[in-house]
Amino acid sequence: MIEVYDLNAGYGKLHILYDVKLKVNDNEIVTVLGPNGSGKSTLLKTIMGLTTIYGGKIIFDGKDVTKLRPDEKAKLGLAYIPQIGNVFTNLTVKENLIMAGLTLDKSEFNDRLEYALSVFPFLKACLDRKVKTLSGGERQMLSMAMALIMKSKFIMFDEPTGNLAPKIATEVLNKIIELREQSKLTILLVEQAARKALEVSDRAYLLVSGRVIYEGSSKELLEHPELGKLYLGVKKL
Amino acid sequence: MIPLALIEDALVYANLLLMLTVGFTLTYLIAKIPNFAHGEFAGIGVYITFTVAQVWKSNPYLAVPLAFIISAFSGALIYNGVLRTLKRFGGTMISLTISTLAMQIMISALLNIYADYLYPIAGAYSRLFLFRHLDFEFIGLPGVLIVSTIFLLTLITFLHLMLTRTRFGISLRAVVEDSSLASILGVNVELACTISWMLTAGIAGVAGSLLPLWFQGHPYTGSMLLTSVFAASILGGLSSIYGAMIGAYIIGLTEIFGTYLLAQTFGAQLTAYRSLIPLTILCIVLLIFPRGITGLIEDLQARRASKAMVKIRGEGS
Ligand SMILES: Nc1ncnc2c1ncn2[C@@H]1O[C@H](COP(=O)(O)OP(=O)(O)OP(=O)(O)O)[C@@H](O)[C@H]1O
Ligand SMILES: [Mg+2]
Repeated sequence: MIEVYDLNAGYGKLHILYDVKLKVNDNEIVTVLGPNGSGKSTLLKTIMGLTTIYGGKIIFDGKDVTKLRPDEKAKLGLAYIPQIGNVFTNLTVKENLIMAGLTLDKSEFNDRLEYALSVFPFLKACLDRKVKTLSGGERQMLSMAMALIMKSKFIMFDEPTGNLAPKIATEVLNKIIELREQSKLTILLVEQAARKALEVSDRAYLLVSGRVIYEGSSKELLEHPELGKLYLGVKKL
Repeated sequence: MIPLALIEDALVYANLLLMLTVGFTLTYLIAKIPNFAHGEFAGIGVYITFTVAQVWKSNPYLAVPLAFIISAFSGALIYNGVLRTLKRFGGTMISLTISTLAMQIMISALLNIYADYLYPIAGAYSRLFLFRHLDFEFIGLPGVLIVSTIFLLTLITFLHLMLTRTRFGISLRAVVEDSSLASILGVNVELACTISWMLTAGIAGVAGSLLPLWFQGHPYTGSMLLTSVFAASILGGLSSIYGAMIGAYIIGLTEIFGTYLLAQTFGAQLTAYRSLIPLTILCIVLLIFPRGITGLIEDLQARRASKAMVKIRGEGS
């Protein structure tokens, strides 16, 4: 589905990612882990086309998309839910959902809107409210609802459970698994709650200082004697 | 007693200023840079009216659609030819802003050249002209007042409906808040910027094309209007087009009535210092309420909301 080769990227002249190699197969959930500031968000932004790429290749569905603009990638079915600023606060809830369905035609949008509202029924009551009047957790759920509406084959979540109460966080992760199963999506996940994320994902990458230092199945990483302790805060099972 | 002609002056001027200010604010919100060349789009409109009325000897209102098209085209050219090129080479907000100042000087120079070129062809003075005598009258009101008011009401309705009801308008507001998030969701940000530049430049062109039907037109009309456009946008708050509308009307009316009052009191020589009025208002706004009228309204709403909250809590306990 998506293959990244020797990716070097950053912000302007600030080099952040070094020779990153990554692959996500069809219908897989892959987690990227790493300490704060290691470049996880930068990796997702780079795949979406929001940073400066110095070298390397990004292949999506067999097509070289390295140089495409974000909006062109969106139209191909790549989606990315940023860690912060993933909703428009000056727009209403309804308008945010419309933005999420920008690349859909009317009837398809209405179907997906109905589905997203059935998953997050609390949104129905505040469709005309400005998002800036919602709480942090409510905004996070709105951004999940937007993810449900987007027309995507491959979706990248940057810490989707960041501001959520543990119970709702689990719910959101379950939603992500459901997305994979029902909509046949491929998912790349960045998570702080390493343990939970590894439990739902198939494979994982560990990113430190902009380099991939470990790649393997999630189960292996969970049980890895040093890496687990060093970077994940995972207690031995 | 205020003379009727003065009221007409004030209304026509406020109408034209509103068209310019709404466009200036909208491009500022979308492209994030103040466009110093915005007034020159009106300058282009002024000379299109001169060409239509004086050179072609046609109805001056024919200039309105022409001005819209030619100014819109100039807007697209400046945005794509100059600003986007600079951005590609890593231009900062400051260098982009200065480049619009350069564009302002250049367009103004081109208008001067065009005026001199037209002089022998038109057989009329092309550096200062007025076409009031070519305008129509309806129930005692000047045509330009009626036409500009109708155009304005249509424009406001159109913009409001576009920004709140259409996917394109919602995308524009999304770009205003966070252009990279908008692009992730599939908005072609550069295309949206180009269209908004065309739209706002076109509206400025229309304002300019109507101007010589009531006020004197000259190659510097655009740069002279810019002071008032600036003052009106900042008074409006630079954050909403509705604020811009209120700001433009306040500046437009005060500028005309204020100049009249000052001239009555201190003598006619004061009319030469007319721009002092918008500049003074500009200073006061920046010193006392820099977020402008929109900011004042937001503060008021916030205060009301928090009062309501306190009341609810009070009843609850
Ligand atoms: N817009 C930006 N401009 C310049 N530097 C940036 C920008 N965003 C992030 N950085 C820098 O890039 C590095 C990697 O940041 P990134 O956001 O990718 O980390 P992260 O792994 O997502 O961290 P976290 O777990 O805290 O979200 C950091 O050193 C950060 O300071
Ligand atoms: Mg991050």
